[in-house]
Amino acid sequence: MVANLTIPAFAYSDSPVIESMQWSLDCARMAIVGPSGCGKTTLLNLLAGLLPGTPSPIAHTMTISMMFQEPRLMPWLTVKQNLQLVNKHLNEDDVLQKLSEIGLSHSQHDYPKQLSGGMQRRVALARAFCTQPDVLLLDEPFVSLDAPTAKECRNVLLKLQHTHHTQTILVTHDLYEAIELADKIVFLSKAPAKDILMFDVRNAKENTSDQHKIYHDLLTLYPNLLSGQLI
Amino acid sequence: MTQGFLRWGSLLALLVIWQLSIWWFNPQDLPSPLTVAQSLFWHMTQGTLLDDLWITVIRVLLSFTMVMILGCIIGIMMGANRTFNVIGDGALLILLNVPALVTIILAYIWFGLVESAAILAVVINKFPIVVITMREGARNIDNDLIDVARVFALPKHRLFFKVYLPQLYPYIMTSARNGLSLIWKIVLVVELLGRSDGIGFALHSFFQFFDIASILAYTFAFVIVIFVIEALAFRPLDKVVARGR
Repeated sequence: MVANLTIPAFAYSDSPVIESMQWSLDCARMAIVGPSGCGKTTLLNLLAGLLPGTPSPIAHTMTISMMFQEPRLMPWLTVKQNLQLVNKHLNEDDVLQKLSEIGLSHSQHDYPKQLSGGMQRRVALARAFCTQPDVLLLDEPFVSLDAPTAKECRNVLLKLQHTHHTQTILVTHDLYEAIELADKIVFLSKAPAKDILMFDVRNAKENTSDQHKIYHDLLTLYPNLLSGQLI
Repeated sequence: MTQGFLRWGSLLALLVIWQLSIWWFNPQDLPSPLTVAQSLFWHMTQGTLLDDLWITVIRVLLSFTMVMILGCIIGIMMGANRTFNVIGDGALLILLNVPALVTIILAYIWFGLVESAAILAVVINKFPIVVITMREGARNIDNDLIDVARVFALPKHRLFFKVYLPQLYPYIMTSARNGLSLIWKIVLVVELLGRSDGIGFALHSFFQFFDIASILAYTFAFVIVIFVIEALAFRPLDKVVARGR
């Protein structure tokens, strides 16, 4: 598990996008919340090592995996082949087991375009866990789904995370989603992204199980938090 | 069923129109379909059509293979690398616009009337067209999918064959189809100008005798071969490429 995370500053040419930050992650589930365009996806891409010239600060010691805003399944591969693409050691039984975890054991021979949006997300989720990652990065993975489907996908994520003991770092603009899925939430400022508040959801959940109350209490205390301002 | 009926029906209709025009206009320079069929049968059984066909098909397949390999490699490199594209773009433009006849004549002058010169002339003429298509394909690679491969730390060869190349399959199929249809035509010109065998050479001989039935018989024979290649190679490959898309 990543205990301390040092994020280097990042800029596109002369325009800074992310300021350097250092976080203590004493939790299995972390969420990063910030206003639209503040650099959340760039931050996650940086953690994944996808930005040019910037090695991942995590990947050198941990195996990482990622779920993107879109499912990004290979359209020319079946569901089974998509899972085997990232882990060639998966045999028929392994694939079936992975698919049964997400409730799609009958879809192994289907191509992605034969699946609904929600089913594709679940396959992407199964793929993300195929490599037994230490850390799973999630970039607003359920953003374009309708509310019931998104809820179903979140439940699958929680179940898989519990089964595989994988640390997750979720980027989202949806504070409800962050409260539901995370133990700790880091709030970012407007670009260039800088942490303005680290909120421990576990403490709040000890006082109440009502996530709406946590949401409202937090925004009552910091009304401009979702705009990237502490005051 | 309906598609097959329309496909063969339209070909049959063409034959009927051809035969009717013979009956009505009785043109001197257009033999009837039956005469062409008889000529085709004669050339197959007593002439050298099968030998000529074999030689030309080998030349076409050899040129086609070289054109596709060279065109795909250079096209992908130019599409993927900006510097390489800048270096190669000028030469590509020149090669695209040099008349085929000039390349063929120069190849024969420089290398002699030999097989390698004939193949080289075809390859130089046609690989730039494949380069253009493949360059476009490489420019349209979906980097989001490449990012997936990078995040999951796929080995380079696996990334290339499982993620990168499948995105180029439609472009490869288009190049192959266009390439084959252009190559077999240019091979006939190459044979006509500097070889002593093959369909092109035979057509040249028939032209000197104004033997129109034989010219058409040879043409149909070759078109049939292309139909067979289409049915046995391209259609099944089309299905493979179209999987999941």
